Amino acid sequence: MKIILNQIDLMWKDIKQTKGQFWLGLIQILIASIVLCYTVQIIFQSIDSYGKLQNLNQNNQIYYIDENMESSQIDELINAKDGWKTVKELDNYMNKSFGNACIQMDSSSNLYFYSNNLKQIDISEIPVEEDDTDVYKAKSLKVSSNFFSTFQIAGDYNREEIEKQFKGAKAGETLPIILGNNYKEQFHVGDQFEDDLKQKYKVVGFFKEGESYISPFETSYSTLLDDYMVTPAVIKHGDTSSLLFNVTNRYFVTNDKAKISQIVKKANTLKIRPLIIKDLKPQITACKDDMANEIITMSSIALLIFAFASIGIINYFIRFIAIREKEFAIHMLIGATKEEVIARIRLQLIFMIGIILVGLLLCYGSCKEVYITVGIGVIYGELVLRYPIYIFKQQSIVRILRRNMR
Amino acid sequence: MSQISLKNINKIYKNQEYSLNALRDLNLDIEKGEMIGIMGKSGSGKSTLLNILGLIDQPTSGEYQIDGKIISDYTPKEIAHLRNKKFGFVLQDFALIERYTVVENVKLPLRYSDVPGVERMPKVYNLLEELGLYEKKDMLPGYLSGGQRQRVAIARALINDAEIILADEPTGALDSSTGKEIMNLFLKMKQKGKTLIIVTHDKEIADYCDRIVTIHDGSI
Repeated sequence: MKIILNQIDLMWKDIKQTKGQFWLGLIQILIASIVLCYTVQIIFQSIDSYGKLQNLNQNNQIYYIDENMESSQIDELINAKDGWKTVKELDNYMNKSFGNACIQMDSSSNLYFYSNNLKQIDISEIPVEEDDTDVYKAKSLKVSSNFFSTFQIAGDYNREEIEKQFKGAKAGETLPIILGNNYKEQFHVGDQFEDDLKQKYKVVGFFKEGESYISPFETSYSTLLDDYMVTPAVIKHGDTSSLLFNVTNRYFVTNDKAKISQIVKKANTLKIRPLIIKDLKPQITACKDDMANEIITMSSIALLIFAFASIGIINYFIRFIAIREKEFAIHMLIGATKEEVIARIRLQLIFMIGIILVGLLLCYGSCKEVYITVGIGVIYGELVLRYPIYIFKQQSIVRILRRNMR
Repeated sequence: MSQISLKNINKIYKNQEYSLNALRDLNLDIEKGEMIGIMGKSGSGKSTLLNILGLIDQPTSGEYQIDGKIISDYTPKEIAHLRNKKFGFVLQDFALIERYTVVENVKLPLRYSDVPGVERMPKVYNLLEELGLYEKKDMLPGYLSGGQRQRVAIARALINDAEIILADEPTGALDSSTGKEIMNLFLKMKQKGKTLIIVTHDKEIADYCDRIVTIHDGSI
């Protein structure tokens, strides 16, 4: 213990007398670590998304039903006396034929609410935008109950329970709502609020930080749910327009293309046409390739950033050992072992890593990406020191003193 | 029993091109409280002998005993500890750490000793007072004269109550009057029972010693 305290005292003296060089190097590496950690997060998200996509696509094809109807056709259908019944028949047919393989996922609309709908919430602390005076909008996603299992969405909820709640949800009643992680500080499970159309919601859970779902039509393929409010895709009875939009924007996870074709035939008989089947496999394959490339590219960028920023630190340690060589020899002359001298150098590295850990925890909180980044720093630091320490170990006190006395 | 005993000591420096016998079958006994001068031409092996005596270099063969204990039985950590406790070094270039003050330089051996923290500073201040350096205690070595710097080195050598003082050309960088001051300090140390081993090529310095050992081509 005494030896450790002694070395810490010497290390602190060393740092104080570097005239800011140590701190400059530390700031450089700290900034690089923050960037590296961010990159590691992106890499992990991409790997997670890739895994989900792989899982989704493993044994199945994914089809998307879209419509190519003229506006006049749509208007005619919506305004028809039996329009709701016709579209509902198609909806029932799809659900009956495919069950859990039929996924609804609508991100086309936002959720609007007045500020006084959210009592005791600090609006500035939640990811919403002011749309009009006192009207706020939040990103929203309307989904079917099988959305969570299909995309392996994780959160602090029981998935089976949530699926049950989403399945049983009815328009006009209080709907369950799951919020992204960025709402977690302001909302609690059980909180209730209503939107601008007086639809009531009850918070039933939160997504895990960084959770995402895959949509090949989104620009970035993988959409983070941190800022989203996710509700069941329920349609009010008689709202033919919404139901039509709903049935003509669905995903089907199946290998049975013949069955998909049956939907089109059924739609034709109901005069809901033309419906188009899109095979999403090429897009998903392209998605996966892009994600893999992104992972490789981000990893390379991350390591380059780290390596480049650490040039200052490498230079610092090499210079430090070279300049202090005689001093180390004097310490050994009066009773220090080589290991004690090397410990003093390593302590500086440990101190730096400690500062980096604190900095990353302040920026990102406790998460695996922070510890991975610090781990990379430890390994890298050890590699950086390896050569100078090896050279130092080969020297004898006599040789160092003689060299510095000339 | 001699305090220091060297038997058949050899030191060979080897590399791929050549091999050099710095010391050949050297035998030497030194009693406690003796002041020995080691003389010889440049390259005769004086400094090599001093390095071996001070445990900062190991002989290639032979036996080295201190107080009857064979040094080759010690681990490197034990040797470092022994160097801290038993030996004080006074070198020609003073070997002070330029960025440490006088106090910090003198206190250095205490960092590696068992002396409790609370006792360290009083010990340092007393010694500095004794050597006439108290007023300079917060100065950096760069601001001291040669004689003052050598006195700081001597203070550092004495701070741990070392029994054996090894000096390698201690007055080599000093003028003659300052050199005499330093040698008088060495005499005071001898009177206190310290064993002093001084490497020098200066006969005037050697005249202060009880015994002169002359090395020629690695042998006495």
